[in-house]
Amino acid sequence: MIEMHDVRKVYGNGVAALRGVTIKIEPGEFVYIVGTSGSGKSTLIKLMYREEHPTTGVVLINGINVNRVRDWKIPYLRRKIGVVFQDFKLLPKMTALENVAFAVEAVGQSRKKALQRSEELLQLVGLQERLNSFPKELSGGEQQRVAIARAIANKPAFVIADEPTGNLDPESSWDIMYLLEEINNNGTTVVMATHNREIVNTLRQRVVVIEQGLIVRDEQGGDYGYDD
Amino acid sequence: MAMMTSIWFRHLREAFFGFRRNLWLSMSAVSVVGVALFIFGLSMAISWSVYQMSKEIEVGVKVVLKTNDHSAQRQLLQQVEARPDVKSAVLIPKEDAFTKVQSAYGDRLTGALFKSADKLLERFPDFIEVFPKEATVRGINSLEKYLKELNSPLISDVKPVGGACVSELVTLSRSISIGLLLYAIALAALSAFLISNAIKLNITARHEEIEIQRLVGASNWFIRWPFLIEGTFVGFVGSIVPVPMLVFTFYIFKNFIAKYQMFSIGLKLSTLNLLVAGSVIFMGIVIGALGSIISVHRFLRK
Repeated sequence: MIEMHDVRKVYGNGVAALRGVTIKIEPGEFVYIVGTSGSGKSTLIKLMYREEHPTTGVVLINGINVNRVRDWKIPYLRRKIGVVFQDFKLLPKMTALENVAFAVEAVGQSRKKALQRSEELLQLVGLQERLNSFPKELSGGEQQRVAIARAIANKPAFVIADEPTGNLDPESSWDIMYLLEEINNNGTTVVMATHNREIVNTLRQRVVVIEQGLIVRDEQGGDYGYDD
Repeated sequence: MAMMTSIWFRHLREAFFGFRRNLWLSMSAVSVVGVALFIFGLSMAISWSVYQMSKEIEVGVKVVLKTNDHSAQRQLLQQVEARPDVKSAVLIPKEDAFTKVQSAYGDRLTGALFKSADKLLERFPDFIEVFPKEATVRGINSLEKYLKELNSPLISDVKPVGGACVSELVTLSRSISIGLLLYAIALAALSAFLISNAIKLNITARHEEIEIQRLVGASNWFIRWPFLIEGTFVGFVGSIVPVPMLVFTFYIFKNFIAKYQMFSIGLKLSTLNLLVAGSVIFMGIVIGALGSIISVHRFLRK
């Protein structure tokens, strides 16, 4: 479970990105975080995987206060969370298989086991034919599928996706959404920041709307609900 | 077990790639480490050699006696010999001392001041030479203090022998060693800085990769090991270079001393070589590890 209690975040330049956010995300939920640019979506997401610290307030991941977790324990917390980015963040000099294996190796698995697990994951996301392709040889949708395979490589309890369809054409966007839906159906909590009205209005899930650092709407099965 | 081997193999592979990626910077770091450790080794060797030499110089205390009474002299000799810190004590009659001085200076001693050798001999006292077990300045000082505090009516004066020479030798070697050591420390700091920069360049090159490692939950040590191995390797290679140079320098030094028969060579070169080589290699590894730890720590703290 992800919980935030009265979380405020003020950056060094004085910009208040979040101004008192309280939210609870239950295990197995699929949540869209929507809002205009600069509304605080990305900050909210970054607080969840402890890329940012709240200025005040409490962030709990499975009951653990992430602010109080010692630095050396952060990696163990992050193993419970898979992160997907808009720009994929794949390593250009590694093949699709190596990019995924890299994440498995990073948590201490042997090279052999990492490659074996990565092959299974790439099959799962439909890229069994592209194991040895480099990122530049893959389409945007394929690259995002590799990124998703990497995010779920260590069997996380949560997948946090920051605008995963932002750089993709509509067809690829739908492929990614079906994949995320399937991951969610298998019990993984998915939190996704998005600007894609069509997706939110079609695949109805819980919608949390942020405006100027505050949650202005939190609705189960809600729609996008505002003009960009 | 196989998993651990695989992970360590990965760390070694990454470290090797890192070293190769910044080959020139790594090589310059190796050179500076080498120079720093050569100077460090030299400073160690000088201190060690002087310590050995100082042990060979016969040092003691000369007790000038007032009396010619042989039985009183013997009694004092026995009293001094009984002390636990005294190695030996020898009674030297004035005739023996005079013969020694005369053989050294010849007729120049007599002449204008004394009409004959006999007249001069009358002015010579008997004395006891006392040698402490601890042949150091501290040993002599302690013995000198004891003899002075005896306030014996038999004693007219107490003078250290050879002590000043040892003291000067030790002071000189200490100054040289401290000077060299300070220079070596400055160079060691420079080497750690260079290694740290080579590692920093490597971290920058692998920035994206490390960011992803952190995101997927790689432990800090998993990220740190390849850099630590790389830095340690640079330090180790840097420390290997000066070892044969130092051994060669000691060899030349030993021959120089032997040629001029300055001392009887109590220097055990094999011990010296092992001691200095061991310390130099250890220091190299420490400098390398330190350089890499500084860079990685700064990066991981962000």
